[in-house]
Amino acid sequence: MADGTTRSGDLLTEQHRDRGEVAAPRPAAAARPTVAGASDDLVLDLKDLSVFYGSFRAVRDVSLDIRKGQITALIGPSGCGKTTVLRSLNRMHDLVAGARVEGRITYHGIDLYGPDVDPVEVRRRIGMVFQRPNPFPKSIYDNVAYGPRIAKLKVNLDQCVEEALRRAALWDEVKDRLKTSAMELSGGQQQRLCIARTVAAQPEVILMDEPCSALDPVATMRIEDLMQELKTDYTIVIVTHNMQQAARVSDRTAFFTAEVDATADRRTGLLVEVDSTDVIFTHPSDPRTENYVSGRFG
Amino acid sequence: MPGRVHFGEAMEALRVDVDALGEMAEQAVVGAVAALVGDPSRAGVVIAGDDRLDALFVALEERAYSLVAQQAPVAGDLRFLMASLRVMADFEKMGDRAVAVAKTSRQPWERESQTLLLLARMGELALDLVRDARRTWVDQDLGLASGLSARDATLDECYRHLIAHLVGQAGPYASLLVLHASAAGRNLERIADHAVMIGERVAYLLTGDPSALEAEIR
Repeated sequence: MADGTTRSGDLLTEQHRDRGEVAAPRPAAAARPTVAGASDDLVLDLKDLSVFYGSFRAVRDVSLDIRKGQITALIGPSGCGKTTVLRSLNRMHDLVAGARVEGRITYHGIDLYGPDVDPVEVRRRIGMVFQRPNPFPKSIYDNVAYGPRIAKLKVNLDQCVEEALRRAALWDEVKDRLKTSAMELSGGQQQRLCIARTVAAQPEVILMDEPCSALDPVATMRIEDLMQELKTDYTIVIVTHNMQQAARVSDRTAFFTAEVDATADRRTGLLVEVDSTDVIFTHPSDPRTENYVSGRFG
Repeated sequence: MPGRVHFGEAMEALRVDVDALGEMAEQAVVGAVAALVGDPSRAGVVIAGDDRLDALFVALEERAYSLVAQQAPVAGDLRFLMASLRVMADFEKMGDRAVAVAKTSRQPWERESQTLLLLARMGELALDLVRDARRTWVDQDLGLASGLSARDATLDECYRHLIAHLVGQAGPYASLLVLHASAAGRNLERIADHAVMIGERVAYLLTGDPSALEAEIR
């Protein structure tokens, strides 16, 4: 995919760009290819991924493909490693002392953990929305403008902020008070603001770590509706404890579980099964998946 | 410890009660066939009994809807509840067809011997299928489920013989004979089709393979 090559080229460090290895500019949002007809495009490819915290292996041998324009849900019991896997997709573990990754994650064919890859650019291309809304103690406008400013995106900031707030279905609610503090918004509005902040950085992939767990049902439904709208332009990976939410919003579902080492009192996560959400919730292949999604934990 | 104990108990109770509905349908077919080929006085019990069958069907349907709404079933649980809704509807329709056969037995038409023999044979085959459809459901028996469709072919062949035989009828009583006997034959054939569908739905329930429902589109 030509555009994908351009984007993955963006991941390389400034030195590589200076050597002319990647000259193409970052594509503008409007220039993104449409998703229609491209739903099978591979965006992220995990091969035998293991994540360690020191000597402790938190997740082992995960092989999973994330496809363009789809919502992929990661589900499983607590301690199964789904959030660990999610955070490995944009190198969040780089910020944790002692954390390391084995195996391979490629983004449009480029090794995400390769020595020449710029982790800051990775996190811009692969944004993240967290469990609890975490707006900066700044104005609504400055929250959304933050990403484009620090990334020095050559965009009209006013337009970028409005576009991002519209994409996050928040514009109509805040357009008359952009300069007021983001902390005055409700929890659901704050989470949509965080989505707008992520969108404003022009990512291709949005990772969501239980984005509705702190929200009431009405705010949850708004986020779920928003996800359906966003997936026309973004690839989304969501971790959720709410299986019905996974069933409602996702195209594909990956079920993780944990194997327990009783002597060491440690749990290591592993991927049991990944398939279309329809299959996972009607006739999954693995009895462990069946037991989990139907609420019988065995 | 398995989770969702109460939900599991409610599903088990539904399985048993859907079979109770099946038993009522089976008894209706037994009475209807007996009325058709020998003792028309049995028709009244079949016709009167259909209200009870319908009432149980409605109650079971509401129970299944409540479980769907309140328990948000997925995977095997979802397939079971969807299958139970369709299986109970098949049993209810068997009851309706049995009533139609029973009403035919009350009509004045010439009981021509070969026609009665063919209808009796169809009734016997249909009843065997209904009994095995019940066993398929209550035992969740994939092997039995898979065999129902092939056995239905024998009944279909018998129905074709009946129609061929009726087409050759002549004389002053022929029109009523053809009208009522062909209707009875058609209803017995449809009762067997519902039995086959129960087998298909149980096969889907047990395997999750959508191709198990192919009889639906034949």
